[in-house]
Amino acid sequence: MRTAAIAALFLAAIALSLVLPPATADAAEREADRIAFFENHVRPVLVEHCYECHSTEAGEAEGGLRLDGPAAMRAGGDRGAAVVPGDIDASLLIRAIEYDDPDMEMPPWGRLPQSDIDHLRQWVDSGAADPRPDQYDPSLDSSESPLDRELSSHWAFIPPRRISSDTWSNLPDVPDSQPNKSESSLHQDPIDAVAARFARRAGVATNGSVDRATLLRRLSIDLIGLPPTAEEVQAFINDRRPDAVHRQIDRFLADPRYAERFGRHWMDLARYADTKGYATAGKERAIAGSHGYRDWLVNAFATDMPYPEMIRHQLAADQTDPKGTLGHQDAMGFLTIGRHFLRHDDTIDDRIDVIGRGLLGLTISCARCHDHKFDPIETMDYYSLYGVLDNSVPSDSSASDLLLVDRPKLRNQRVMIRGQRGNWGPVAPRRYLVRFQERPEEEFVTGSGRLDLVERISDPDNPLTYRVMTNRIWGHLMGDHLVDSPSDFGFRTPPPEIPMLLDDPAADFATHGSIKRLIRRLVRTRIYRQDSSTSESSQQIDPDNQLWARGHRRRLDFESLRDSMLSVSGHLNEIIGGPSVDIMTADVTPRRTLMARIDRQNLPGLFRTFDFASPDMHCPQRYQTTVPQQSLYLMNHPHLHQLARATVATIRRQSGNTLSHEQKVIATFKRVLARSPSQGEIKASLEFLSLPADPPPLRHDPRQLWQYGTGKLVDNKLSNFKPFAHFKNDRYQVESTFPSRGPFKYASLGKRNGHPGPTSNHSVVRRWFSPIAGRVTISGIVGHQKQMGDGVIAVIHAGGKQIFREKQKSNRRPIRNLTARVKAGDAVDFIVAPGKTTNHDSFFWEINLGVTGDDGQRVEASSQSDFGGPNVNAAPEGLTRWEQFAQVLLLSDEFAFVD
Amino acid sequence: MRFQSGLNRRQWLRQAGLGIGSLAMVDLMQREAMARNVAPHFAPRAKRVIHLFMNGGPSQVDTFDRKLALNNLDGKSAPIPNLKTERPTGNVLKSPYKFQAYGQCGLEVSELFSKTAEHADELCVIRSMHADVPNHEPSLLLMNCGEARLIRPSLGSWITYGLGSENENLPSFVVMCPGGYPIKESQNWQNGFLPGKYQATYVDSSHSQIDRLIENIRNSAVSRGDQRRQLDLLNALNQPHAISRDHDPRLEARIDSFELAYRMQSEASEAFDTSQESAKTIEMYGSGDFARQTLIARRLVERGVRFVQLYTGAGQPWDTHDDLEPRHRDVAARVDQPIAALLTDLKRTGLLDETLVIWGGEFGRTPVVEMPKKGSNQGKMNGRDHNHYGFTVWMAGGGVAGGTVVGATDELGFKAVENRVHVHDLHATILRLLGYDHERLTYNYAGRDFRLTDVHGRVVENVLA
Repeated sequence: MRTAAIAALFLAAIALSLVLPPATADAAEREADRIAFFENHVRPVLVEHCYECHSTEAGEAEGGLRLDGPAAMRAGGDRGAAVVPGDIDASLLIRAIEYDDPDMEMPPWGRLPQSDIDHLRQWVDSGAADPRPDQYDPSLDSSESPLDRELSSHWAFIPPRRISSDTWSNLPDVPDSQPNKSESSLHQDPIDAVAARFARRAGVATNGSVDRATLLRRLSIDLIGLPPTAEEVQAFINDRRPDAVHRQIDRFLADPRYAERFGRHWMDLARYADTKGYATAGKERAIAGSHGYRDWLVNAFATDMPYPEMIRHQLAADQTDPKGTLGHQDAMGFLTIGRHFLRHDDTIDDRIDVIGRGLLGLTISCARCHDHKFDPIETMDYYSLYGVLDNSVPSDSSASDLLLVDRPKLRNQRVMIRGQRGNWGPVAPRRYLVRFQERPEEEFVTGSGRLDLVERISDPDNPLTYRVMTNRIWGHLMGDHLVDSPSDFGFRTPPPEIPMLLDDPAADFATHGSIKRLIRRLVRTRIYRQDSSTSESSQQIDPDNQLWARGHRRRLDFESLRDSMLSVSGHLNEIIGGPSVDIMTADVTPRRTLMARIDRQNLPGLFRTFDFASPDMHCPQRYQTTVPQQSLYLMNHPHLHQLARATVATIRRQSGNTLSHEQKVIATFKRVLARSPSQGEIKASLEFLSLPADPPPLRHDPRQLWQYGTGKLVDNKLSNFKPFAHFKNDRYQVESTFPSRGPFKYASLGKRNGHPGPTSNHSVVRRWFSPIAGRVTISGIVGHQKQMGDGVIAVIHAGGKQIFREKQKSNRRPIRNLTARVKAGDAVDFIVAPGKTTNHDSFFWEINLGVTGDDGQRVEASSQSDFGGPNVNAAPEGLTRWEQFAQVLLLSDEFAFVD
Repeated sequence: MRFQSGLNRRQWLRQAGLGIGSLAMVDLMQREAMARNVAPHFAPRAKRVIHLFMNGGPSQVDTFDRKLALNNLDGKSAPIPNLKTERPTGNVLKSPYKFQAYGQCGLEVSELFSKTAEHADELCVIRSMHADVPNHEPSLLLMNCGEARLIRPSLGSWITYGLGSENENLPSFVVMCPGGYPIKESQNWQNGFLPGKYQATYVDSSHSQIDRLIENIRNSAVSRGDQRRQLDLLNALNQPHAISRDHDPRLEARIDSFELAYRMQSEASEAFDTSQESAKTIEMYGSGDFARQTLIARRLVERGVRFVQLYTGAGQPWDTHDDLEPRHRDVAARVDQPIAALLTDLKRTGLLDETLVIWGGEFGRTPVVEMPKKGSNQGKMNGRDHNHYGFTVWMAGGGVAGGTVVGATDELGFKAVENRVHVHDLHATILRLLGYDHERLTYNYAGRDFRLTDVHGRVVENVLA
């Protein structure tokens, strides 16, 4: 296509140069003037107002008309020539922009300014000089629109079939096509045999199976997202029972950590986050009960809920669990956990997209403004689904905040022409994609139609649903997908090199719907067990491994890398479910990474650095980048130091304190890499351990300079400062129960938020000590979110003097560069007292401050990044040599990859 | 097989317009190692960008678009009805500032930017900018991402995606804002559907301690010497591992990344450390956070950082619905001297030839006064409302026609009327200066090719030198 277009351009250029006679200087000048007129007054108008619907570039030729080239304009569209050079009256373009003919008013969104119209008239009148090349895109002119193309001409739109004797007779012929005996015994699954046949035909040797240790690591990371211990590896190697591998697979599938692993995979598809996105001053950003959706997913995978049922709850829990007694209402987070856009239409669009790409592998959102350019999806289809989702609204009285119910009084949705609200087309009946159903006009009958939609999607005969999911599972297990655009199975997507690898498991999956059964089958195959080594010939013949004659080496994603580190350090807390937790705290949060609180508006850099799924859009697959920021985190972040220390502490706990250097090396290898070191590795490691560690770089732990407590604020004087005695759930509080049963009630301080006690005698104080004398500068943002109550009073004292006092209510107040002088050891207090009322007094306060000493020395502090629990060491301890060694193993390629 | 760019091989080939199997593996990896992801379509005139973002919306008629008519009409109703903006507006409000002609081109600039104006002959002032709506959020996103509502990659992400990295030891796309975020926060520099590495590295430039400027740049538990020994051991363990695995390029890339990170610790620290500048230079830039971040920006582009975006400050500092006169003066005083110093400095070092400097806000302000209303302008009647119908952006440096004015607003400076330049057109022009045809710098996502300008944009030829 590209070549054709270039050739056409080239020909057009030659044609032009032939047609134009060599001009006299005078004529050339006039021509130049005319072209300048076109460039200055005509082209911008066409580009700005017309191209969107009438150009190759936009892929649009409404009414058969393009206005992006002279020939196309003269040829015109369905109604005739748009431009007749020199003849204004015969030029339909002029008639349309004049707005005189009610049947033909262009552009449709409003008459052009008179000056533009005058320019276009003048241009046509003077001969319509036009230097643009004639663009040609055969796909526009070709008579076959994707809407006309037979569905059965595309592999993904025909239901998948099992491998049968027919398949075999149609397979590529190989001279020695009878597999020998030992080979056929390997092919327990027909897809193994098919793949082997393809490989043999191509002349690629299939790899053998990996050893037991590698297989266990592969299964463990793939199925539960965590590495096996050295003991588990040894036990697996020693297990000589014939069904040892199958038993191990079943153990993993029964493990709740399997459900966490695959729940997280699904969260990528569902663009999971715990916040709504951007909200203006002071508005609540958290999605109430967001974690309920995550927990529901984990439970669904753990109980191996059949896939059709999973879909049903996620789209229509209001009908599968109307009273909320069955625990399924949170499943509708699939629709509601997305970004809350400022415009309703965009929120609906996001939901159509998550259904279309997430469940069907169809880019339905492309049909929002015009019929899909490549796939058999009309704009009408888009608004049919729009109508379904527009009639699905939150309910006041449900058990879950994530639930949607049908609008009490349904409303009909009209097509928005060109996606513009107010530019109404015909009513779009609520129904399934018309090209994809046998009785195209059949409309949905139950309420909004969500339940009907579920039936169409989960129908075992739906050619897409089970293929798309099988391809995703394949990708998670095998390290690469069969179809490399996992959320787009449209006309332009080619079938896998060996289609049966996808179709046979997908057809099977459509009959039973069990995800565990599908996974069990795939990990039992010979294909799964192949080792990942490459040979020159396999690289030459099949560099992409599309024939699956070898395994794929994979790198741990962010979650499994972080979880693996927590696991080997002995630090992992395996409690399942519950509210999301902040994993960016100063101390390592020992929970699995799927528990991390995801703020989609300001996703911490760490997540992006490690290619975490974007929480803004349905994420079909993760990127895999290698950037130095990843290494900086692993080398320098205190989390890693803490994990290295914990790893050594765990070894000490298990093996005692009297280990020789060599014993340390062996124990650490076993702990981190689940194997014993080689002689060479022992030697290199011993050299490292034999030197003493340097003292750590001299630096204060910035957390030490902060204190958190309560105080009495009377007449601008703070007294009775008393540090909080308890730190729980990332929050300082007065006693271990919260709220306190004593007079301080809700008094507390967290990383960013806080709450004062009931009176100004119970104010909360965030205190920073300046280590040097100088001028302190304070910036930040303070505010209060609730609409009710009378707000709080925010006060800053520096060196005992009040430098800021202001009431905060339903606001977000930036503070810029307040300054004061401080002596070394002086406190800077950030005090919050309640107003007259004691309710609705939650506040937030982010503070940055810096002191420039009289000698030019500078110390800076940040209330957020310096925040941590009370167990701050007097001086930051350096890592011992052994701990440094443990960190090295955590950083190794072996730890980060699965062979 | 996945590649560093985040594309797998098949996708990569598809994007590169090549057939599968047409290139040998080794060759591919070499190409991958090259900086650019997308070959230029034209000879690039600029290699790097510094975007001085005047967030909140500076008033064009008080800075670079002088309107004498305002003086005569001051306090009277405008001859044509006021265009609808965010809030009710009233009579004409003249500019409280003095204007003066600068340079050989005679560009008229107000006293707010008297120092920047010394570089008048370098500036190409586009007076006919226009956007879509008079609200901050959508306009910020439009200016940054070419799309007001949906999640799309920012200009800086597109450019770093296209041009790739020139210095692996530093992030390619850096955003600085003193004291916090502008509104819309990190969405302003989002990577959208592009790989995570094309998102900006955000720096709160109110800090000056290096470990507070760049994440994980310092180590508090291991000395530099011990860290070197750690990496040597890491290499000793990694190398045999990689060799026994056919030198899998992903393994080797990860090995390299630790060495890069090691070097980055000193290189990045040095790049952000303005104390290495001479007293004279520091004095030239002046004091304050904006001055420091501007000086850092120069140090960064010097070291090959592709795109540096500098916000005036947290929130929306230029948003003067009231007290225009003192507040614009105050904000301009923070930025004028550093900007002038930046241009001087870039010129002095020859960097200006290949660095594109862009100045402007998300929109401009009305030439008429905003009507008093409690809660929105403290009941005062001395400010200007948002104005997306017409505003000014200027560019300087690589490939820009200095000393020129492009387009014009109407008599009052309300609406762009001559050679109108939409934000999409600005983007198309910026990409052109960097060597890209905005219609061909695309990324395939969710079934279609996306581009910064969507289906819009024209290159403003008058801007090009």
